Parts: sequence; C-alpha cells; structure tokens
Amino acid sequence: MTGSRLPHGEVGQKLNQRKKEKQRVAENERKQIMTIQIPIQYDFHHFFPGKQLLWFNSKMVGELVASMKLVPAQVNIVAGGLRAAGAENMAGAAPAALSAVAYDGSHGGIRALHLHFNNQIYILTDKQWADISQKILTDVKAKMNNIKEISFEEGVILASMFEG
Amino acid sequence: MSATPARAAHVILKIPLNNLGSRPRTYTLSITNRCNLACTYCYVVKSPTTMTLTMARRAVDFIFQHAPPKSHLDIGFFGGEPLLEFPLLQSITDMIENHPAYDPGRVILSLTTNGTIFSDEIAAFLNAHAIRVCVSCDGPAHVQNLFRRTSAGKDTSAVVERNLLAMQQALPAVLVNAVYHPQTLRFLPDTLDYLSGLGLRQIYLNPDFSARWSRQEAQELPAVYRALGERYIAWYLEDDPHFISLLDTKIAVLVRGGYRPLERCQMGTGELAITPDGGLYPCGRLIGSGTGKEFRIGTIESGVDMTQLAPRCAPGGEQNPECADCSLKDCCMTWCGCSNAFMTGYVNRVGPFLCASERALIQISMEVITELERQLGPLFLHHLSGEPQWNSREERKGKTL
Repeated sequence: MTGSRLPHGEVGQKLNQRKKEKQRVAENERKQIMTIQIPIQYDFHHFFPGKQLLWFNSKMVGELVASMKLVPAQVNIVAGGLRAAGAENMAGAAPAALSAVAYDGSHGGIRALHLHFNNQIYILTDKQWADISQKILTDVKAKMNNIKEISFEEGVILASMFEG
Repeated sequence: MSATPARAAHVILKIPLNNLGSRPRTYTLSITNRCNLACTYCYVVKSPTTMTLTMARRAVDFIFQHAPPKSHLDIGFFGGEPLLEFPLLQSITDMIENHPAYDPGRVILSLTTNGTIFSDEIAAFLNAHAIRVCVSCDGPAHVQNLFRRTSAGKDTSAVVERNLLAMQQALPAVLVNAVYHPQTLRFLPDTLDYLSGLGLRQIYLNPDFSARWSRQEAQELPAVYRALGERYIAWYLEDDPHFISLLDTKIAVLVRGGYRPLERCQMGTGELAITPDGGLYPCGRLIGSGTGKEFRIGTIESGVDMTQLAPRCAPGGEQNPECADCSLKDCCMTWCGCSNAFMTGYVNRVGPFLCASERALIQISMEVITELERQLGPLFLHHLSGEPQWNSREERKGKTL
C-alpha cells in the first residue's frame, strides 16, 4: 500500500510531510474560528430533530430504538456555535447518563454517537452503533445477491435508439 | 410542443412542466464561455461570450426571486474559466451581497476554476466574501497534461500544481475535482496519491461520462476502486482521513439505506444553470454551446419549460427495465440525468459503464466500512446526516455527526 503511493510519491511524500504539520495547525486554528462563527441556521427545520435522517432505514431504526430501549436525549440549542458542552467523551458513555446535549444548529453539531428518529435524538454507545452498522452491512450484502446488470450490448441498443 | 411529449416529460421526469413552482436552490452561474484551456472532454463549448453586467443583474434578481426564501441558496460561479473575468465576478458578488433579499446566513458562494489563474488579490477577494473554491485537476503531470492543455496546446500541470499549493496557504479550504477517462482510469490511484501529496483532503473524482467506455475498462473498475479503498483505509489508520467523493458518498448512501429525494438529480426543479445570455439549463454539465440548442429549458425572462427535455426522455418507462428489478437501485445513481444523457442520449436511461461503476463502488465501499469499523470502531455514523466530509475535518471515532 505505502509502496504503491510512491510513483509521485517521493515528491508527494516530502510535500505531504512538510505540509502535514502546518496543515493541522492551520486546521485547528480554522476550526476554532469556525466554531465561534457558526450561526444558528436559518432553515432550521431542514435538519433539526424533526428531519428524518434515516429515510430508508427508518423502520429498522425504529425497531432498534425499541429493542435497545433507547431514551431520547434532551437537546439544548446553543447559539454562537458552542459545541456540545461536555460531549467530547460521550461516545462511550451510557445513554442514561446523558441528561442534556448542547446543539449549535449545524450539521456535525452533536459530538456524540446518536440517531435521529421521530423528532427525537438518541445517544448511542459504541456497542449500539456497532450493532446497527452490522445490521446495515448485512442488509446490503443480502442485496448484492440480487443485482441486475446493464450489459454493454444494451448500451449499444440505447445509443442506437437515440441516434436513430 | 405537442401535448404528447409534454406529458412524456411530465410523467417520466416526475417534475412540474414549468414554471419555477419548485423554487430551485442550487444555481450555476456561467459568467463566461471564454477559457484559456481547451480540455478535450469539456462539455462547455467555448466562445468569446461573456455575461454583461445588465444580464448579471437580471440573473441575480432571477435567482433571489425564485430561490426558496428560508433555505440554503448555493450560487456557483462557472464558465469557461470564471477567473478570466475576475472584475465581473467581483461585480456579481457585489450585486448578490447587496441584493435586498441577500442573507449571509443562507447564501453559499462557490467558484469552479481550472487552477491556472490565482493571485494574492484573488485570494483576498475569495476570503473576504467566503467563496468556496473547487479546482479542476486531473492528477499528476502525465494525467493532467493528457487532456487539460491550453488552447495553444501547452501543458498545464506545473502552473496548476503551483496554484494548488498557493491556494492551500491562502484559503481556508480547497476542493479538487479530478476527471478520469478510459485512457486514465488505471492512473486513478496515482491521481489520489498526487493530490493527497499536495495536501488536499477533499477530493472529488468523476468519470468522463461522455467518453466511450468499453467492457474492458468496466472490468478494470473493481481493481482500480479497490486501490482507492486501500488508500482510504490507510489514511484513516494514519489518523489522516481524506474525503474521497466516490467512496464517501457511497458509504453515506449505504449507511442511510439509499439516496434521499433531495440528493437525487433535481435538474430544472431544484437546480438550474444560467448562461451568459440568460439561458436556463437543468444542470451546469448540460450547458453545451449555451446557444439555445439541446438542453435549454428556458430563459430568465420566460422561466422554465421542462417539456423542452421531452426529446431527451426515452419512451417506455421511467428507467431501464434492469434497474426496476435491481436490489441496489436505491443506492445507485441511476437518477443522474446529465450522466445518463452523456452516456445514452436520454436523461432517463442508464449506460452500462455507470451500472458497472456503481456495482463496483458499492462493493468496495462495503469492504471499507467493514474493515475500518473492525479496526477503529464506530466511524461512519455522521454519514447518516449527509455530511461525509466531516471525517476529513474532524476527529474520527464517531464523535461527530
């Protein structure tokens, strides 16, 4: 893997190494700037809890929410980009321990594993996400067994239809 | 236009016949057809035509008149090469920002450039007006110079590379878009290495759908995409995640269970392109000559008439019969009207290359999710919300959504 990155790599890697640290410092600075500049979004309903994020998987998520006995989180909307106070370590926390989640109204505003479902936000543990992820992948794998192909012969027919 | 094709467009595309009741919120503003390059695959026919200030004013009024009042509004400067008309771009930005309906909280400005023109003055302007920049660069010199040459036939790699480095120093974020072609498909991993080596972390990869892709290239796709997946995984493990459009968007779709309605092609309804003469097109890729042929669906005076697309709708159903029965149809880009039009002539007929590409991408993306979550734990939850770029910007381990 690393070796195959070398064709441009000698130039690329040197540039990469030189720039990497500089970029991270700059990125951290930008993040800090961005963090205090993010306004409450105008099209709030577009993605706040009411928005159904799991369009296709909503049935599955509903079942998971019920079977995992997830408790909706209380969400505080925070203006000015104050991100998820105290949420840095929430990924591994038990959902019941989380009484409130600060939210700045932007995508990426909640710094914890969570799901949106039926106008509620549910905080997840790593294990709960792993279970969901596994189920999603299992479903996709099952679908891979029933795919159809558009053949190149079909492509020729389509092209001739149009040209004709 | 007879009633029959009008109905065909209405039924097949499932869109209003006209006339902006749908309130598009993504606009491509093609301010000039001039370009200093003559890329062989470019879908815009070059000419000296440039938008006048009067037309620009009307175009800006049109956008604010028809955009949804409370939603994000994306306005992208496009061409030709828009930076050839930098003073005009400045004037139009001024018009937008001083429009009575302008709201800085919801208007997002962007610029697509070929990367050959950049200066401190341009950087200062782009920063002052928070204009996002996407640079077209196909990869290292042997790839970039193959198709992306000046109108005089000169190489462009050196100047674009220099400007990409300068842009990253001067701008808060630089996106890059690389087009791959049957002749350059096998170099795609090299392209990724090259762009990463330059420090770029938000990398868009797009096939040239207008090219003649053969069965042979389709058979090569899984190996090429797998090489991209290996890099994607390696960079995650090095704690340096990259956003790679081909993989991240497909991972997002897989995690969510399919494309959501607003993610699908909204040509002419959610999205419009405006040409220098005020012509309306369903998508920036379909501007073509911009002279009223083929895909023009109206003008800023007349509004949108989607029946103009009727000749581009194949009879016999909304999509290929194979797609209707395919178990992956919800996760496949069959809906991309411009890609379809380039491949088959019809906006509602998918070509075999797209089918092969999507199948390969879904397979590789699934492998990537499996491997990375096995090693790193929760990782792709944020992809649920349609923000796969977060991985390249924030700490990993699923702490963001």
